[in-house]
Amino acid sequence: MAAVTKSDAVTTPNPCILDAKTIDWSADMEKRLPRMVLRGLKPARKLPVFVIGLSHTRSVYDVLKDDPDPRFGVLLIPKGKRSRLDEISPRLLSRFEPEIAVSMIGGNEHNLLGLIEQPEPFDFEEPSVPIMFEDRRIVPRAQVRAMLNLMLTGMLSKVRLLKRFYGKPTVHVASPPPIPDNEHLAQHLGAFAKSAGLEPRFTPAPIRLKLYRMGNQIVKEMCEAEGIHFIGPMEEALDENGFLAAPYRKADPTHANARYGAHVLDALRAYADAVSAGGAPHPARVTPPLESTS
Amino acid sequence: MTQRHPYEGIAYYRNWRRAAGVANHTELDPMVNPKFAILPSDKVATSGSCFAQHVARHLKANGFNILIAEEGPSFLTAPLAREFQYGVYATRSGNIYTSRQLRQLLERAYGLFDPGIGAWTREDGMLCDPFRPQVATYESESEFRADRAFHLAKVREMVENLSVFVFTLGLTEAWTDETGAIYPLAPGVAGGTYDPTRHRFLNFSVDEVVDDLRAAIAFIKARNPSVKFVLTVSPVPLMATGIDRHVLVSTTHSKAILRVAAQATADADDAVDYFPSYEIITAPHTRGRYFGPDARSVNEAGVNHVMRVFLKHYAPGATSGARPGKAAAGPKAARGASARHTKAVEDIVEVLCDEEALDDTRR
Repeated sequence: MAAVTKSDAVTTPNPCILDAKTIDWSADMEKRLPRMVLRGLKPARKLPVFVIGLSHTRSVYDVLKDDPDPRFGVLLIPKGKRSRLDEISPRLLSRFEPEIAVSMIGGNEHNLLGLIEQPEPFDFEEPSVPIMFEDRRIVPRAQVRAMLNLMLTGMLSKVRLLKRFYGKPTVHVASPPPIPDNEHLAQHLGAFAKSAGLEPRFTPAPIRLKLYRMGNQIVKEMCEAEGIHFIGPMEEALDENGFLAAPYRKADPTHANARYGAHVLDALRAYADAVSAGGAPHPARVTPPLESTS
Repeated sequence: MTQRHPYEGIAYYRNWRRAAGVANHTELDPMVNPKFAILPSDKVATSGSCFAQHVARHLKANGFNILIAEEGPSFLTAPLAREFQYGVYATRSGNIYTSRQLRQLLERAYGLFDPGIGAWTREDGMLCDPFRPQVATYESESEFRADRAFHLAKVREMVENLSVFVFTLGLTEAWTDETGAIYPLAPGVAGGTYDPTRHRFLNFSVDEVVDDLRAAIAFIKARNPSVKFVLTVSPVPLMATGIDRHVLVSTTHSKAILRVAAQATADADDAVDYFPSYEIITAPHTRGRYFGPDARSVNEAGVNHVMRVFLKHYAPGATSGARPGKAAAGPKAARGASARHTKAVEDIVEVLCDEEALDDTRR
């Protein structure tokens, strides 16, 4: 990877903040143009580290916005006509040419399953969280895993796409762990829940942590099978029980703040340095770049 | 006008040559004078051997109020719940092949029989329930115990809430051990370890099947006096026999015992009816066309014929495909509620994520 220092960075516009569009025109217009035409207008942008993802990407986006590091380019997928996950396509990826691809894709699947209490409260065994709520329905782990697997299908396919499209060292960064404080959730989620017709009752925090860890385990297993380096939650940002510690929370029920993002960037820098030194945990596997079809 | 002999003027269905079905097998209808009708409001629970799965599926498709006491967790999608065998029967019991197995399930549910049998270990290292080894797998003994307790609670719920119990008798052969517990599958087939010094083969006699059936029926009636019963015999031959003789001979022996036991039980109780699904599938009229290429599994045409006759007699005015009543509100409604919950949470998270993408003030 070419050595780039902060002093090389162009400050205006911030080179770390990437746009989903090639040039400033309507996204619809861009989507109608063949990729070859787009390439003629603007060649794929070379990047040392390309970070792409959905809402959890915001934590690193906020850091790079204020404190650019030319090694990084971050693309926070905006909401379009399609689902944000669907926006991650070979067509979009072809606009960048990274040395290292970083996924911060997905990461809310455990929240879909367990942030707000299900109609039938449940619990399940997770060896790393030895707390059981015996008054709830105890569900076999296999059933929870099957559902999480299903919910993670779309997200996993996009992480896989990243690896296969570029054939470069690829990293997936786990979303931050749950926030244990139900009052915090109520303050920032209660209104949304009510407007959606749901009782703002939250699944007990230990169960949310179990779901988070099981989801991470599924993603990690897929990453290992694909030769993708998996970065779990930032150790520095965890409280004594493994939840997101207070200094890393923001006015939001599920996302972490820029302070958390700074730790993520440190972890990515360490990975990038290891790749440069030839000692990355998951160096570029010989994976031919995916021929894009869109 | 006097009869020349006692068969003169009998109903056509009593006369082989006149009964419909010889020339055209699809017209075969051996059911006569059902003892009761199944009303749209009746909660119908099905159980029994593998043929009972067809019965449950068709009754559900035809709008019967199928009782599903043991539903999947609300977060599971319907296909996943089905994959985990929720909704196949009223409870997640798996196939109940013998009347002794049914009787013991009921007694275990109410704490009246506790053979003290824990989980079996499968070849893959996972655990399973010896009484339903192909229904679920577990990663720990405690997980297994919790799910078994939930299952047995749902068996009690079924007993106390059902209106009509459709039970399909499947086998007379079974395996047991020193506890007397009956296993649906021989130890070692889908879990556990076969130990010839402990495990014993049983082949129930007519009297034993009748005793167990009557005991099971009495057990349910004691807790839910208005329940009606429909007994059927599975036409599916044995996959294998534990006796050193041809499997076909064991099959005919087994089915004959079950057929006699079902009739004897029905004859002795006005609340118990016998439905001839066995006869429809195996009748000479069909010339074997209701069996699959393996000469064992019943094909969809056979199942459709059985259910057409079933509907004709138990749901008067309805034909196959018609809906005598609304489908059970319980599971469907619950699954719908869960889907709505998931969609609502998705919307919330999406909104929050939008906020996240747009808002750079909430640091």
